[in-house]
Amino acid sequence: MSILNPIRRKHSKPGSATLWLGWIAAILALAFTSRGEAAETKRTLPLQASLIWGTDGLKPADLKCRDVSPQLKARFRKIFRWKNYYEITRKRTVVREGKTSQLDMSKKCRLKIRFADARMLEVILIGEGRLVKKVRHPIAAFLRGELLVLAGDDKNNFQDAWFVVLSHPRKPKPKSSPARADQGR
Amino acid sequence: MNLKQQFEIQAWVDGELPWWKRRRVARLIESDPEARAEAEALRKIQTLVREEEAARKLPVSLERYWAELDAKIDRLQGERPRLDPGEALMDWVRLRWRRLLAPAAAVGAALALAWLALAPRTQPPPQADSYVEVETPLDDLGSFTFYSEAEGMTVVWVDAY
Repeated sequence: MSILNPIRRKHSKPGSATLWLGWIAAILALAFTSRGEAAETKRTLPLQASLIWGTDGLKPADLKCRDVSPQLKARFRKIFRWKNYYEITRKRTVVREGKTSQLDMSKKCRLKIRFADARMLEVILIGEGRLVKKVRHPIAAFLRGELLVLAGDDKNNFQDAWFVVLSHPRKPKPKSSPARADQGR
Repeated sequence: MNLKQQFEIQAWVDGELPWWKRRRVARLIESDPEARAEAEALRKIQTLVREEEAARKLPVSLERYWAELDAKIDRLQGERPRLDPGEALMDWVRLRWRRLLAPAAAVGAALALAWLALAPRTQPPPQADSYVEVETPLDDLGSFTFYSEAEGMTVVWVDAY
């Protein structure tokens, strides 16, 4: 046992190693708390936009389109009056912080999408070269699986309507392997 | 031989000379008679100090000696002039701020690591989220907006486009 041990144990100052560890821990804590801010500046949001035609009639043979999914059709029918919905265009993009994504849905319809602020996404609908509508929608709503639908009557046929549906594409759940028939025997 | 060389020879004899200087000083001692005489004199003094010094005996046992010294330190600390409470607190903080810093920083780092491990990593938290702002630059267009919570859908209907 060191002859200096009794006094040094009681009246000693914190060792330099402890102080260095304390300073390093404080710096790490500051660095980690700024992690949230750093993550926001690099955020992205994948989006899918579909141009849909709503009509009570049948699909024309010369029009390149396909039926919307049964799930979307069911949701639309609960809100809108048309019987049939056909998807004319589907496009995907990834909205990035500080940049504007542009989607040409048709010759007459263009979308511009960007982050408005920390909570909201800004969608600009441009029709025939003119700014038609500017919409700000909560990002959290997209992440929950909700849809933003910009819609209006078809200028050429007021019986029909057009819809631009914006959604956040979700990864499909992996299909579980079918149970083996001979398990448990 | 200058003063610096004398100090280097002294350090060499004591075994405290940095390794990158030892060879140079050893060569100096071998080549310079004055340096060699200095080194020999220092070695003799070193031997004398180590071997001839009489062992000192304490009047009391080692444990009692340290206990008495400990008590004396406590007594001296208790005799310090009394401060008013504010000054006493500032004095306490001034003397111990470094001791407080280390555990406080460790607690802060632990909390930060816990947040890092548990906090969600993706998007901002959901907030009031059925609110949609709509701006219609064209005067001849109107619009109305409605939200269907059941269908999870916000519809912005543009009139007369």
